[in-house]
Amino acid sequence: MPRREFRNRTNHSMMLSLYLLASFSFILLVSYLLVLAFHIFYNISLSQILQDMTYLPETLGLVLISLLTAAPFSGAATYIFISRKHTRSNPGIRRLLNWLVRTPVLLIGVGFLYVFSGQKIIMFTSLFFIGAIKLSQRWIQISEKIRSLEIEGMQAMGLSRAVIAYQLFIRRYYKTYGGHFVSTFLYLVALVTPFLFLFSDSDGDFHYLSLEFFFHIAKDQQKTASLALVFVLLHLLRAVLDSQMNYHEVEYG
Amino acid sequence: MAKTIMDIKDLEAWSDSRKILDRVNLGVENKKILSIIGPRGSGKSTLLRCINRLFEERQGNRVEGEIWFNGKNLLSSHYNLLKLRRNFSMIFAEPTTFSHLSIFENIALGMRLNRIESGAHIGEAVEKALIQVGLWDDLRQNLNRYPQRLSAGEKQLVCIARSLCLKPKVMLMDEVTSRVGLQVTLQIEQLIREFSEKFPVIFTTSSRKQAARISDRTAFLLDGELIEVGKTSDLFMNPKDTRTEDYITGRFG
Repeated sequence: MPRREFRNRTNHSMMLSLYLLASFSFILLVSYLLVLAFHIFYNISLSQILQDMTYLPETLGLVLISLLTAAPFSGAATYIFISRKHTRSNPGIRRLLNWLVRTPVLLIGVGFLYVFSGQKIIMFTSLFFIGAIKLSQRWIQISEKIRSLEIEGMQAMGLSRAVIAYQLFIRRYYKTYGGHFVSTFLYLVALVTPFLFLFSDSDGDFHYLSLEFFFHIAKDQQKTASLALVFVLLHLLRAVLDSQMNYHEVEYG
Repeated sequence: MAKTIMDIKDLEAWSDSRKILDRVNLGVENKKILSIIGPRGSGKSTLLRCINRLFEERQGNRVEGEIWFNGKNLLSSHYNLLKLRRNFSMIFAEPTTFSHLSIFENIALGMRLNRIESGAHIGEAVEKALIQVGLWDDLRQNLNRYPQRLSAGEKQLVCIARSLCLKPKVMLMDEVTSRVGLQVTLQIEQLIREFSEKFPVIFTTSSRKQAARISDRTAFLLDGELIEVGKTSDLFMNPKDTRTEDYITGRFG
Protein backbone atom coordinates (compact mmCIF):
# COMPACT_ATOMS: atom_id res chain seq x y z
CA MET A 1 0.00 0.00 0.00
CA PRO A 2 1.45 3.38 -0.89
CA ARG A 3 2.54 5.34 2.11
CA ARG A 4 0.02 8.15 1.58
CA GLU A 5 -2.90 5.75 1.32
CA PHE A 6 -1.73 3.92 4.43
CA ARG A 7 -1.51 7.17 6.33
CA ASN A 8 -4.88 8.34 5.06
CA ARG A 9 -6.59 5.18 6.23
CA THR A 10 -5.22 5.36 9.76
CA ASN A 11 -5.95 9.05 9.83
CA HIS A 12 -9.46 8.32 8.66
CA SER A 13 -10.23 5.93 11.52
CA MET A 14 -8.93 8.43 14.05
CA MET A 15 -10.95 11.23 12.51
CA LEU A 16 -14.04 9.04 12.45
CA SER A 17 -13.72 8.35 16.19
CA LEU A 18 -13.31 12.04 16.85
CA TYR A 19 -16.15 12.91 14.55
CA LEU A 20 -18.55 10.52 16.30
CA LEU A 21 -17.47 11.81 19.69
CA ALA A 22 -17.80 15.42 18.62
CA SER A 23 -21.20 14.85 16.97
CA PHE A 24 -22.51 13.19 20.09
CA SER A 25 -21.02 15.91 22.23
CA PHE A 26 -22.44 18.63 20.04
CA ILE A 27 -25.96 17.32 20.64
CA LEU A 28 -25.24 17.40 24.36
CA LEU A 29 -23.93 20.93 24.12
CA VAL A 30 -27.02 22.16 22.29
CA SER A 31 -29.25 20.49 24.87
CA TYR A 32 -27.30 22.14 27.63
CA LEU A 33 -27.58 25.55 26.01
CA LEU A 34 -31.33 25.08 25.58
CA VAL A 35 -31.73 24.34 29.27
CA LEU A 36 -29.55 27.32 30.06
CA ALA A 37 -31.55 29.61 27.77
CA PHE A 38 -34.79 28.40 29.28
CA HIS A 39 -33.42 29.23 32.68
CA ILE A 40 -32.09 32.67 31.75
CA PHE A 41 -34.95 33.98 29.62
CA TYR A 42 -37.87 32.57 31.56
CA ASN A 43 -36.24 33.21 34.93
CA ILE A 44 -36.92 29.77 36.21
CA SER A 45 -34.24 28.60 38.63
CA LEU A 46 -32.23 25.63 37.64
CA SER A 47 -33.13 23.79 40.83
CA GLN A 48 -36.76 24.29 39.84
CA ILE A 49 -36.07 22.78 36.44
CA LEU A 50 -34.37 19.88 38.11
CA GLN A 51 -37.31 19.46 40.48
CA ASP A 52 -39.76 19.67 37.61
CA MET A 53 -37.90 16.90 35.90
CA THR A 54 -39.12 14.54 38.53
CA TYR A 55 -42.61 15.06 37.14
CA LEU A 56 -41.48 14.23 33.64
CA PRO A 57 -41.49 10.65 32.43
CA GLU A 58 -38.59 9.01 34.23
CA THR A 59 -36.54 8.23 31.12
CA LEU A 60 -36.79 11.77 29.76
CA GLY A 61 -35.80 13.18 33.12
CA LEU A 62 -32.79 10.91 33.25
CA VAL A 63 -31.76 11.91 29.76
CA LEU A 64 -32.07 15.63 30.49
CA ILE A 65 -30.12 15.57 33.71
CA SER A 66 -27.49 13.37 32.11
CA LEU A 67 -27.16 15.83 29.25
CA LEU A 68 -26.76 18.64 31.72
CA THR A 69 -23.99 16.84 33.55
CA ALA A 70 -22.22 15.67 30.43
CA ALA A 71 -22.39 18.94 28.53
CA PRO A 72 -18.98 20.25 29.57
CA PHE A 73 -17.35 17.25 27.94
CA SER A 74 -18.88 18.33 24.70
CA GLY A 75 -16.97 21.59 24.80
CA ALA A 76 -13.69 19.77 25.25
CA ALA A 77 -14.45 17.14 22.63
CA THR A 78 -15.63 19.69 20.09
CA TYR A 79 -12.53 21.72 20.74
CA ILE A 80 -10.32 18.67 20.19
CA PHE A 81 -12.19 17.85 17.02
CA ILE A 82 -11.96 21.33 15.54
CA SER A 83 -8.31 21.63 16.48
CA ARG A 84 -7.43 18.29 14.94
CA LYS A 85 -9.41 18.76 11.77
CA HIS A 86 -8.70 22.30 10.78
CA THR A 87 -5.80 23.92 12.52
CA ARG A 88 -2.97 22.15 10.74
CA SER A 89 -4.01 23.57 7.42
CA ASN A 90 -5.48 26.78 8.71
CA PRO A 91 -3.36 28.82 11.12
CA GLY A 92 -6.10 31.47 11.35
CA ILE A 93 -8.53 29.06 13.01
CA ARG A 94 -5.75 27.86 15.27
CA ARG A 95 -5.02 31.43 16.40
CA LEU A 96 -8.72 32.09 16.97
CA LEU A 97 -9.16 28.90 18.98
CA ASN A 98 -6.07 29.56 21.04
CA TRP A 99 -7.35 33.05 21.77
CA LEU A 100 -10.81 31.79 22.72
CA VAL A 101 -9.46 29.29 25.18
CA ARG A 102 -7.17 31.74 26.94
CA THR A 103 -7.93 31.56 30.65
CA PRO A 104 -8.84 35.25 31.11
CA VAL A 105 -11.29 35.09 28.19
CA LEU A 106 -12.91 31.99 29.62
CA LEU A 107 -13.04 33.48 33.12
CA ILE A 108 -14.73 36.63 31.81
CA GLY A 109 -17.27 34.35 30.12
CA VAL A 110 -17.92 32.52 33.36
CA GLY A 111 -18.24 35.79 35.29
CA PHE A 112 -20.70 37.07 32.71
CA LEU A 113 -22.81 33.93 32.95
CA TYR A 114 -22.78 34.06 36.74
CA VAL A 115 -23.83 37.70 36.93
CA PHE A 116 -26.48 37.16 34.29
CA SER A 117 -27.96 34.03 35.81
CA GLY A 118 -27.06 34.35 39.48
CA GLN A 119 -26.69 30.62 39.74
CA LYS A 120 -23.77 28.92 41.41
CA ILE A 121 -24.33 25.81 39.37
CA ILE A 122 -23.76 27.68 36.12
CA MET A 123 -20.52 29.07 37.42
CA PHE A 124 -19.33 25.63 38.49
CA THR A 125 -20.35 24.00 35.25
CA SER A 126 -18.59 26.70 33.29
CA LEU A 127 -15.50 26.22 35.39
CA PHE A 128 -15.65 22.64 34.33
CA PHE A 129 -15.61 23.84 30.73
CA ILE A 130 -12.44 25.74 31.44
CA GLY A 131 -10.72 22.84 33.13
CA ALA A 132 -11.71 20.41 30.40
CA ILE A 133 -10.84 22.73 27.53
CA LYS A 134 -7.51 23.89 28.94
CA LEU A 135 -6.40 20.37 29.75
CA SER A 136 -7.56 19.24 26.29
CA GLN A 137 -5.59 22.06 24.74
CA ARG A 138 -2.46 20.97 26.54
CA TRP A 139 -3.14 17.35 25.66
CA ILE A 140 -3.30 18.29 21.99
CA GLN A 141 -0.07 20.24 22.23
CA ILE A 142 1.61 17.27 23.90
CA SER A 143 0.20 14.65 21.56
CA GLU A 144 1.20 16.62 18.48
CA LYS A 145 4.80 16.40 19.59
CA ILE A 146 4.71 12.66 20.06
CA ARG A 147 6.04 10.84 17.07
CA SER A 148 4.52 7.51 16.14
CA LEU A 149 8.06 6.15 16.13
CA GLU A 150 8.32 6.84 19.83
CA ILE A 151 5.23 4.75 20.46
CA GLU A 152 6.68 1.93 18.39
CA GLY A 153 10.03 2.29 20.16
CA MET A 154 8.30 1.72 23.48
CA GLN A 155 6.18 -1.11 22.14
CA ALA A 156 9.35 -2.79 20.89
CA MET A 157 10.71 -2.72 24.45
CA GLY A 158 7.77 -4.82 25.61
CA LEU A 159 5.97 -2.04 27.46
CA SER A 160 2.22 -2.21 27.88
CA ARG A 161 -0.10 0.40 26.39
CA ALA A 162 -0.87 1.83 29.82
CA VAL A 163 2.83 2.31 30.57
CA ILE A 164 3.41 3.86 27.14
CA ALA A 165 0.51 6.24 27.65
CA TYR A 166 1.89 7.22 31.06
CA GLN A 167 5.42 7.68 29.74
CA LEU A 168 4.55 9.58 26.60
CA PHE A 169 1.55 11.59 27.75
CA ILE A 170 1.70 12.10 31.52
CA ARG A 171 5.47 12.27 31.95
CA ARG A 172 5.81 14.48 28.92
CA TYR A 173 3.06 16.69 30.29
CA TYR A 174 5.09 17.21 33.45
CA LYS A 175 8.26 17.75 31.46
CA THR A 176 6.53 20.36 29.31
CA TYR A 177 4.35 22.01 31.95
CA GLY A 178 6.53 21.21 34.95
CA GLY A 179 6.60 24.85 36.00
CA HIS A 180 2.84 25.20 35.67
CA PHE A 181 1.77 23.30 38.76
CA VAL A 182 -0.57 26.05 39.92
CA SER A 183 -2.50 26.26 36.66
CA THR A 184 -2.68 22.47 36.33
CA PHE A 185 -3.99 22.30 39.89
CA LEU A 186 -6.57 24.98 39.18
CA TYR A 187 -7.71 23.26 36.01
CA LEU A 188 -8.11 20.01 37.88
CA VAL A 189 -10.05 21.76 40.62
CA ALA A 190 -12.21 23.38 37.95
CA LEU A 191 -12.73 19.95 36.47
CA VAL A 192 -13.87 18.47 39.75
CA THR A 193 -16.00 21.24 41.26
CA PRO A 194 -19.10 20.77 39.07
CA PHE A 195 -19.41 17.26 40.38
CA LEU A 196 -20.22 18.87 43.71
CA PHE A 197 -23.56 19.82 42.26
CA LEU A 198 -24.35 16.15 42.19
CA PHE A 199 -23.90 16.24 45.93
CA SER A 200 -26.13 19.24 46.46
CA ASP A 201 -29.71 19.19 47.61
CA SER A 202 -32.63 20.91 45.91
CA ASP A 203 -31.86 24.26 47.61
CA GLY A 204 -28.44 24.31 46.04
CA ASP A 205 -26.64 23.81 49.35
CA PHE A 206 -23.63 21.58 49.21
CA HIS A 207 -23.13 18.54 51.36
CA TYR A 208 -19.44 17.96 51.33
CA LEU A 209 -18.74 14.40 50.44
CA SER A 210 -19.98 12.74 53.63
CA LEU A 211 -20.53 9.02 53.53
CA GLU A 212 -24.12 9.47 54.59
CA PHE A 213 -24.77 11.74 51.64
CA PHE A 214 -22.99 9.36 49.32
CA PHE A 215 -25.52 6.67 50.21
CA HIS A 216 -28.26 9.19 49.64
CA ILE A 217 -26.83 9.83 46.17
CA ALA A 218 -26.69 6.14 45.39
CA LYS A 219 -30.43 5.98 45.96
CA ASP A 220 -31.00 8.84 43.55
CA GLN A 221 -31.36 7.26 40.16
CA GLN A 222 -30.97 10.47 38.25
CA LYS A 223 -27.67 11.40 39.82
CA THR A 224 -26.37 7.87 39.55
CA ALA A 225 -27.31 7.86 35.88
CA SER A 226 -25.48 11.15 35.42
CA LEU A 227 -22.35 9.73 36.93
CA ALA A 228 -22.66 6.64 34.76
CA LEU A 229 -22.90 8.83 31.68
CA VAL A 230 -19.80 10.71 32.71
CA PHE A 231 -17.95 7.42 32.87
CA VAL A 232 -19.25 6.49 29.43
CA LEU A 233 -17.92 9.76 28.08
CA LEU A 234 -14.58 9.20 29.76
CA HIS A 235 -14.52 5.85 28.04
CA LEU A 236 -15.16 7.55 24.71
CA LEU A 237 -12.29 9.93 25.36
CA ARG A 238 -10.11 6.94 26.09
CA ALA A 239 -11.16 5.46 22.75
CA VAL A 240 -9.93 8.63 21.08
CA LEU A 241 -6.64 8.27 22.93
CA ASP A 242 -6.40 4.69 21.71
CA SER A 243 -6.98 5.71 18.12
CA GLN A 244 -4.21 8.26 18.59
CA MET A 245 -1.92 5.48 19.82
CA ASN A 246 -2.70 3.45 16.71
CA TYR A 247 -1.75 6.30 14.46
CA HIS A 248 1.41 5.11 12.83
CA GLU A 249 3.15 6.78 9.96
CA VAL A 250 5.49 3.90 9.58
CA GLU A 251 6.73 3.13 6.16
CA TYR A 252 6.89 -0.58 5.55
CA GLY A 253 9.69 -1.72 3.31
CA MET B 1 26.39 -26.55 11.36
CA ALA B 2 24.68 -24.11 13.70
CA LYS B 3 21.45 -25.09 15.37
CA THR B 4 18.26 -23.57 13.98
CA ILE B 5 16.74 -21.55 16.80
CA MET B 6 13.78 -20.08 14.99
CA ASP B 7 11.61 -21.55 12.25
CA ILE B 8 9.27 -19.39 10.20
CA LYS B 9 6.63 -21.46 8.41
CA ASP B 10 4.20 -20.30 5.72
CA LEU B 11 4.19 -16.77 7.04
CA GLU B 12 1.72 -14.47 5.36
CA ALA B 13 1.11 -10.82 6.26
CA TRP B 14 -1.86 -8.80 5.16
CA SER B 15 -2.57 -5.12 5.39
CA ASP B 16 -6.32 -4.87 4.81
CA SER B 17 -6.75 -6.75 1.53
CA ARG B 18 -3.17 -6.36 0.35
CA LYS B 19 -0.82 -9.26 0.83
CA ILE B 20 2.63 -8.05 1.93
CA LEU B 21 4.29 -11.38 2.69
CA ASP B 22 3.51 -14.53 0.73
CA ARG B 23 4.18 -17.92 2.36
CA VAL B 24 7.64 -17.15 3.70
CA ASN B 25 9.57 -20.14 5.03
CA LEU B 26 12.83 -19.33 6.76
CA GLY B 27 15.09 -20.79 9.43
CA VAL B 28 17.24 -18.66 11.72
CA GLU B 29 20.41 -20.21 13.10
CA ASN B 30 21.67 -19.53 16.59
CA LYS B 31 24.58 -17.09 16.98
CA LYS B 32 24.60 -16.23 13.29
CA ILE B 33 23.87 -13.10 11.32
CA LEU B 34 20.98 -13.36 8.88
CA SER B 35 20.55 -10.46 6.50
CA ILE B 36 17.37 -9.87 4.58
CA ILE B 37 17.86 -8.02 1.35
CA GLY B 38 15.44 -6.81 -1.28
CA PRO B 39 14.28 -3.65 -3.01
CA ARG B 40 12.15 -1.04 -1.29
CA GLY B 41 8.66 -2.35 -0.51
CA SER B 42 9.62 -6.01 -0.76
CA GLY B 43 8.46 -6.79 2.80
CA LYS B 44 11.76 -6.77 4.71
CA SER B 45 10.57 -4.57 7.57
CA THR B 46 7.21 -6.33 7.66
CA LEU B 47 8.98 -9.65 8.18
CA LEU B 48 10.83 -8.26 11.21
CA ARG B 49 7.65 -6.68 12.55
CA CYS B 50 5.85 -9.99 12.20
CA ILE B 51 8.48 -11.70 14.34
CA ASN B 52 8.04 -9.35 17.29
CA ARG B 53 4.35 -8.87 16.41
CA LEU B 54 4.49 -5.13 16.02
CA PHE B 55 2.88 -5.53 12.61
CA GLU B 56 -0.42 -6.63 14.14
CA GLU B 57 -0.64 -3.46 16.19
CA ARG B 58 -2.17 -1.51 13.37
CA GLN B 59 -5.84 -2.05 12.71
CA GLY B 60 -6.41 -3.94 9.48
CA ASN B 61 -3.12 -5.82 9.61
CA ARG B 62 -3.10 -9.55 10.14
CA VAL B 63 -0.56 -12.34 10.11
CA GLU B 64 -0.98 -16.01 9.29
CA GLY B 65 1.44 -18.90 9.58
CA GLU B 66 3.78 -20.02 12.34
CA ILE B 67 6.99 -18.77 13.90
CA TRP B 68 8.52 -21.42 16.15
CA PHE B 69 11.03 -20.38 18.79
CA ASN B 70 12.16 -22.69 21.60
CA GLY B 71 9.30 -25.06 20.88
CA LYS B 72 6.63 -22.38 21.06
CA ASN B 73 4.70 -20.64 18.32
CA LEU B 74 5.26 -16.90 18.70
CA LEU B 75 2.08 -16.16 16.77
CA SER B 76 -0.06 -18.12 19.19
CA SER B 77 -2.60 -16.01 21.00
CA HIS B 78 -1.39 -17.51 24.29
CA TYR B 79 2.14 -16.17 23.87
CA ASN B 80 2.94 -13.29 26.20
CA LEU B 81 3.28 -10.38 23.80
CA LEU B 82 5.23 -8.11 26.13
CA LYS B 83 7.70 -10.85 27.01
CA LEU B 84 8.08 -11.65 23.32
CA ARG B 85 9.03 -8.05 22.52
CA ARG B 86 11.51 -7.90 25.39
CA ASN B 87 13.21 -11.03 24.08
CA PHE B 88 13.17 -9.92 20.45
CA SER B 89 14.71 -6.51 20.75
CA MET B 90 14.19 -4.31 17.72
CA ILE B 91 16.15 -1.33 16.44
CA PHE B 92 14.50 0.85 13.82
CA ALA B 93 15.91 2.70 10.84
CA GLU B 94 15.20 6.03 12.47
CA PRO B 95 16.56 6.33 16.01
CA THR B 96 13.71 6.17 18.51
CA THR B 97 15.06 8.22 21.37
CA PHE B 98 12.53 9.85 23.68
CA SER B 99 12.95 13.58 23.72
CA HIS B 100 11.45 14.11 27.19
CA LEU B 101 13.89 11.72 28.86
CA SER B 102 17.59 12.24 29.54
CA ILE B 103 20.15 10.05 27.80
CA PHE B 104 20.49 7.99 30.98
CA GLU B 105 16.71 7.60 31.34
CA ASN B 106 16.44 6.70 27.66
CA ILE B 107 18.79 3.77 28.11
CA ALA B 108 17.49 2.72 31.52
CA LEU B 109 13.78 3.01 30.72
CA GLY B 110 13.11 -0.48 29.32
CA MET B 111 15.32 -2.14 31.90
CA ARG B 112 13.67 -0.30 34.80
CA LEU B 113 10.08 -0.71 33.67
CA ASN B 114 10.56 -4.35 32.77
CA ARG B 115 12.28 -4.85 36.15
CA ILE B 116 15.33 -6.42 34.59
CA GLU B 117 17.59 -4.47 36.94
CA SER B 118 16.94 -2.22 39.91
CA GLY B 119 18.68 0.33 42.10
CA ALA B 120 22.41 0.81 41.60
CA HIS B 121 22.54 -2.07 39.13
CA ILE B 122 20.72 0.11 36.61
CA GLY B 123 23.59 2.61 36.57
CA GLU B 124 26.11 -0.19 36.15
CA ALA B 125 24.12 -1.75 33.30
CA VAL B 126 23.83 1.61 31.52
CA GLU B 127 27.59 2.14 31.84
CA LYS B 128 28.30 -1.36 30.56
CA ALA B 129 25.97 -0.91 27.58
CA LEU B 130 27.49 2.46 26.71
CA ILE B 131 31.00 1.02 26.91
CA GLN B 132 29.93 -1.78 24.60
CA VAL B 133 28.55 0.57 21.96
CA GLY B 134 31.56 2.87 22.32
CA LEU B 135 29.78 5.95 23.67
CA TRP B 136 30.84 5.92 27.31
CA ASP B 137 33.83 8.24 26.93
CA ASP B 138 31.80 10.78 24.98
CA LEU B 139 28.66 10.71 27.09
CA ARG B 140 29.71 9.93 30.66
CA GLN B 141 29.64 13.64 31.58
CA ASN B 142 26.42 14.30 29.68
CA LEU B 143 24.13 11.51 30.76
CA ASN B 144 21.64 13.97 32.25
CA ARG B 145 21.31 15.89 29.01
CA TYR B 146 18.57 15.29 26.51
CA PRO B 147 19.22 13.28 23.34
CA GLN B 148 18.22 16.12 20.99
CA ARG B 149 21.84 17.30 21.02
CA LEU B 150 23.18 13.97 19.81
CA SER B 151 23.92 13.20 16.18
CA ALA B 152 21.77 10.62 14.35
CA GLY B 153 24.55 8.06 14.70
CA GLU B 154 24.92 8.66 18.44
CA LYS B 155 21.14 8.41 18.87
CA GLN B 156 21.16 5.08 17.05
CA LEU B 157 23.94 3.83 19.31
CA VAL B 158 21.93 4.95 22.36
CA CYS B 159 18.99 2.88 21.02
CA ILE B 160 21.28 -0.12 20.60
CA ALA B 161 22.57 0.36 24.17
CA ARG B 162 18.96 0.48 25.38
CA SER B 163 18.18 -2.78 23.58
CA LEU B 164 21.26 -4.45 25.05
CA CYS B 165 20.04 -3.60 28.54
CA LEU B 166 16.93 -5.69 27.86
CA LYS B 167 19.17 -8.78 27.51
CA PRO B 168 17.55 -9.93 24.25
CA LYS B 169 17.53 -13.47 22.92
CA VAL B 170 17.31 -12.30 19.31
CA MET B 171 18.21 -8.89 17.89
CA LEU B 172 16.10 -7.50 15.05
CA MET B 173 17.63 -4.58 13.15
CA ASP B 174 15.68 -2.75 10.49
CA GLU B 175 18.05 -0.86 8.18
CA VAL B 176 19.81 0.52 11.23
CA THR B 177 22.63 2.11 9.27
CA SER B 178 20.49 3.81 6.63
CA ARG B 179 20.52 7.21 8.39
CA VAL B 180 23.94 7.27 9.96
CA GLY B 181 27.39 8.22 8.72
CA LEU B 182 30.17 5.95 7.56
CA GLN B 183 32.01 5.86 10.88
CA VAL B 184 28.94 4.81 12.87
CA THR B 185 27.96 2.34 10.14
CA LEU B 186 31.28 0.55 10.58
CA GLN B 187 30.85 0.75 14.36
CA ILE B 188 27.37 -0.82 14.15
CA GLU B 189 28.59 -3.53 11.79
CA GLN B 190 31.29 -4.42 14.31
CA LEU B 191 28.66 -4.49 17.06
CA ILE B 192 26.49 -6.84 15.00
CA ARG B 193 29.44 -9.22 14.71
CA GLU B 194 29.95 -9.06 18.49
CA PHE B 195 26.25 -9.62 19.17
CA SER B 196 26.21 -12.69 16.93
CA GLU B 197 28.62 -14.39 19.35
CA LYS B 198 25.84 -14.32 21.95
CA PHE B 199 22.55 -14.43 20.05
CA PRO B 200 21.26 -14.44 16.47
CA VAL B 201 20.93 -11.13 14.66
CA ILE B 202 18.42 -10.60 11.88
CA PHE B 203 18.94 -7.39 10.00
CA THR B 204 17.43 -5.90 6.91
CA THR B 205 19.41 -3.77 4.53
CA SER B 206 19.07 -2.20 1.13
CA SER B 207 22.81 -2.40 0.73
CA ARG B 208 23.86 -5.60 -0.97
CA LYS B 209 27.50 -4.87 -0.17
CA GLN B 210 26.74 -4.57 3.50
CA ALA B 211 24.89 -7.89 3.52
CA ALA B 212 27.79 -9.55 1.72
CA ARG B 213 30.26 -7.97 4.14
CA ILE B 214 28.86 -9.00 7.48
CA SER B 215 26.20 -11.69 7.29
CA ASP B 216 26.57 -15.45 7.53
CA ARG B 217 23.33 -16.15 5.70
CA THR B 218 21.28 -13.98 3.37
CA ALA B 219 17.65 -14.11 2.35
CA PHE B 220 16.34 -12.30 -0.73
CA LEU B 221 12.79 -11.00 -0.67
CA LEU B 222 10.93 -9.67 -3.68
CA ASP B 223 7.33 -8.44 -3.59
CA GLY B 224 6.73 -10.32 -0.36
CA GLU B 225 8.04 -13.60 -1.70
CA LEU B 226 11.17 -15.26 -0.37
CA ILE B 227 13.09 -15.92 -3.56
CA GLU B 228 16.21 -17.45 -2.16
CA VAL B 229 18.01 -18.03 1.12
CA GLY B 230 21.41 -19.54 1.80
CA LYS B 231 24.96 -18.95 2.87
CA THR B 232 25.93 -15.41 1.97
CA SER B 233 28.90 -16.51 -0.13
CA ASP B 234 26.75 -18.99 -2.06
CA LEU B 235 23.94 -16.54 -2.65
CA PHE B 236 26.24 -13.83 -3.94
CA MET B 237 28.61 -16.05 -5.91
CA ASN B 238 26.21 -18.67 -7.26
CA PRO B 239 22.60 -17.45 -7.06
CA LYS B 240 20.10 -20.13 -8.02
CA ASP B 241 17.36 -17.81 -9.16
CA THR B 242 17.75 -15.35 -12.02
CA ARG B 243 15.85 -12.70 -10.06
CA THR B 244 18.42 -12.96 -7.27
CA GLU B 245 21.20 -12.63 -9.78
CA ASP B 246 19.55 -9.62 -11.37
CA TYR B 247 19.16 -7.95 -7.99
CA ILE B 248 22.66 -8.57 -6.66
CA THR B 249 24.22 -7.49 -9.91
CA GLY B 250 22.21 -4.27 -9.79
CA ARG B 251 19.94 -4.84 -12.81
CA PHE B 252 17.05 -3.59 -10.67
CA GLY B 253 16.49 -2.22 -7.15
